[in-house]
Amino acid sequence: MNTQTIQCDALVVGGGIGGLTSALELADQGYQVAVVEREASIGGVMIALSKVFPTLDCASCITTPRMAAAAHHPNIEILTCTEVKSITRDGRLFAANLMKKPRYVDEKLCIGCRQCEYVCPVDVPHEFEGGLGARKAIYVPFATAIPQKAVLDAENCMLCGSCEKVCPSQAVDYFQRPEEIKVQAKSVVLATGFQLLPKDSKKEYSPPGSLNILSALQMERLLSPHGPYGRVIRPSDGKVPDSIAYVQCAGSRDKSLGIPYCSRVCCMYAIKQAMLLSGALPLADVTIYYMDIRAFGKGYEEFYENAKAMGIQFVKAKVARIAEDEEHNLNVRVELMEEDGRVEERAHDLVVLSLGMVPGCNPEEFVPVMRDDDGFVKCASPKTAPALTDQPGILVAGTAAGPKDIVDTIAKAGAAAMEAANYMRGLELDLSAVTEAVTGEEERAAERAAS
Amino acid sequence: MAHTVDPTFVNELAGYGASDIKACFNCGNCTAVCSLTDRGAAFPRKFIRYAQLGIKDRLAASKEMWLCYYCGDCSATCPRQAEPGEFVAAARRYVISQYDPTTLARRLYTSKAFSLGFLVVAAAILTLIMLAGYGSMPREALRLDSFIDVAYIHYTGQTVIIIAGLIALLSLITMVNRLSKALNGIASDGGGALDEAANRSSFLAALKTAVLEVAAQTRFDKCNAEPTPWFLRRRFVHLSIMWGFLGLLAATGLDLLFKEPFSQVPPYYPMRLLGTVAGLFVLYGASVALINRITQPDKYSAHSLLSDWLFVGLLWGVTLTGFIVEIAVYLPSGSVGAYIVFLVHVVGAMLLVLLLPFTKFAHAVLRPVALFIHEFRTTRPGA
Repeated sequence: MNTQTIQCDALVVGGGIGGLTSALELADQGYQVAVVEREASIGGVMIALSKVFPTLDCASCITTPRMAAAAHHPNIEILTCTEVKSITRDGRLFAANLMKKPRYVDEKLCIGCRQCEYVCPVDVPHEFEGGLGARKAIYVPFATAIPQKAVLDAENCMLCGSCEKVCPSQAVDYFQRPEEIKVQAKSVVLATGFQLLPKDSKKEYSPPGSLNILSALQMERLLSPHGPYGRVIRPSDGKVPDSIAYVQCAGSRDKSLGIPYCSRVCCMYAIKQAMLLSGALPLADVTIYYMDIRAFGKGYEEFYENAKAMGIQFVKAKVARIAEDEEHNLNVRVELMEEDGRVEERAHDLVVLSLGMVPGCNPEEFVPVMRDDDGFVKCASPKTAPALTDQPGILVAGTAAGPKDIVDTIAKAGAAAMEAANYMRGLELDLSAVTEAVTGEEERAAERAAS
Repeated sequence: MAHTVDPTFVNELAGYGASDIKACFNCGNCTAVCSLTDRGAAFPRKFIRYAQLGIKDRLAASKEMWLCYYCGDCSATCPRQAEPGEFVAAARRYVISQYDPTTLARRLYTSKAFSLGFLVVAAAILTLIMLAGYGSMPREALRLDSFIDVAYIHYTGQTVIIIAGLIALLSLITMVNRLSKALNGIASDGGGALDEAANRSSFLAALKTAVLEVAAQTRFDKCNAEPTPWFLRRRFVHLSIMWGFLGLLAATGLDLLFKEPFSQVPPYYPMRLLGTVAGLFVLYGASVALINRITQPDKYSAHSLLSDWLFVGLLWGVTLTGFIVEIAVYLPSGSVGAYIVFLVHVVGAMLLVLLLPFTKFAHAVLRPVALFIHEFRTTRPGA
């Protein structure tokens, strides 16, 4: 196995919007930064979104420039398809063991021309499209992926050799092996992000064989201009839905699923998607079943009021069950508590589950930080220094520390960068002198107390 | 109608088994997930709210607590783990204790020490009375008439039945009174004068609905989400206990009326046969119920109060000893063990009757009447 060694100032774990922000802030100050991303492209969840609340700005238009800025920054090195195996303290530094998974495409040679993709005979559900569209076994992850390099999926490749033959730069390499990378860094920023709770976590919301119950991220892709179908149709039969339901708190504030906390973003993304759906399908009815609407940020309440004014229906009810009939229409069972309290099964063509956020990975597996009861990274002083973990020199950015929207993720990523810079600045100073001054002061205080 | 909020009421209910309804944030999941929710019966969210606010008369006037068969779906899916199913059971215990004029029900439901003490003292007194009529224990055959003087058994039994019956009747009258009053208070009374004939027909319709529901419990099967063999379904188990118990009651009553006490009859004697078949059903039902309470396969049996154990345990014990005595009667000789089992059987049966108005069994008397009242109120014209 080849071993590569990288020396840098800061190691950023995670190449989503949080990690990229931290990396850019540090790099702009002159620090050398390495960004580790387990997927084949940076960009995280945000690059898959259609638009962002409450401004309805295009998500790619915000994310892509940041991705490009990081990729082209002279002080940033980006490692995709790479996982962190371990991070340990090594004197005043951190030593990280990374594993670069084989791409089966030479990153240096690939020019992103997609010839391989066009000839590949294998079709597989596309993860980036939430499994709704299809991709090939060798493919560029998505249109705006960075790096714009193909990746071969060995699980599904049938080794026909077409891609190797067609590649104009001989970049396809079936014999690539995993590579070990050792990193020495002065500080670590954890930006490991979140994932949505799996769609079938609650059996009442996942009738067997259901096709038209989507996760909110799948709906983001349907609404995206370059999404899997290019328009909003339902997966079972391609029908344009007349009636769409949002089920709020599908996996948040639910102790029976072990998730007592509020995921903070679902109210707003549901409202945003409902608005976008009203634009995409002007004749469709959109209903949001909610327990409470939490519109807490700047401009959020106004956004909610706008949605109501646009005719989006808000029904205060916790959805108890979803049933799907033979035509894959859905019946949502709720108590209409703001009417006479009767229980109704309300028919919808498409149901979107506003699934809650759970940690993207378990950081305890590779880095010595503590986790909170909710599984997210524990902040040592969540109010006064929210970017600090219990370990000096290891900072946390974005949703790795708990559910957050994009605004807060970016703010916290900036805070993490600042704390990392402070920490590294402290390393450069003569620490022994500082320590002596402090202990001397303590001794003098003890003497005063004794006399 | 104005209501006074009583936030301490939740704590009072906790004594009856409603573990944590303060946690409820009224999302309505329980109501919507319930398989039995239909027109006019949306539970349990609404009346958890009544309990949280301490509006006791509204709570007591709820029909829902008499409809619930406790499948546990609401508790299993409750986002706050507030155990709404257990709350319904607790509310039922609460109202039963409110209708009981002796306050014994309240003590039995809320205090383990009192329940055990009551049981021991009552059993001791009954045993002493029986032993006062002790004669001898002949070994050549099981001669129960010479073991205990039949007069002691009969008169004590009758006294116990009369006491229990009177208390049950008083509870029933209190319930009918309060329920009618509460429902009158809730209804805005836009009915006006009622047509006599229409009133009578809706009376009969309500009676039919209530009797059918109590006798067959058809709605019970809706509660079984998981596929279960018919003989393990809670509906079958419950019907076995109920009809078996009624059969035993009928057999005993007919025996008292038509049979010479302690006279030998063949096993195929109609009353004896009825008793045997009914007893088998009770023994089966009570055994399954007890096993479920021990192994706790579902939400329903996860919370067992002493009062739950008391009824089903006594029933099981009395039936089992009854069978042992029945077999012993046909054996050629008597033994000390058989005589003692008979004593246990007699005392246990009396205890069972004595506890009828207070334990879990109270619902058997109150539920059909409550169902009828609610049904009559909703079906009659003008309601």
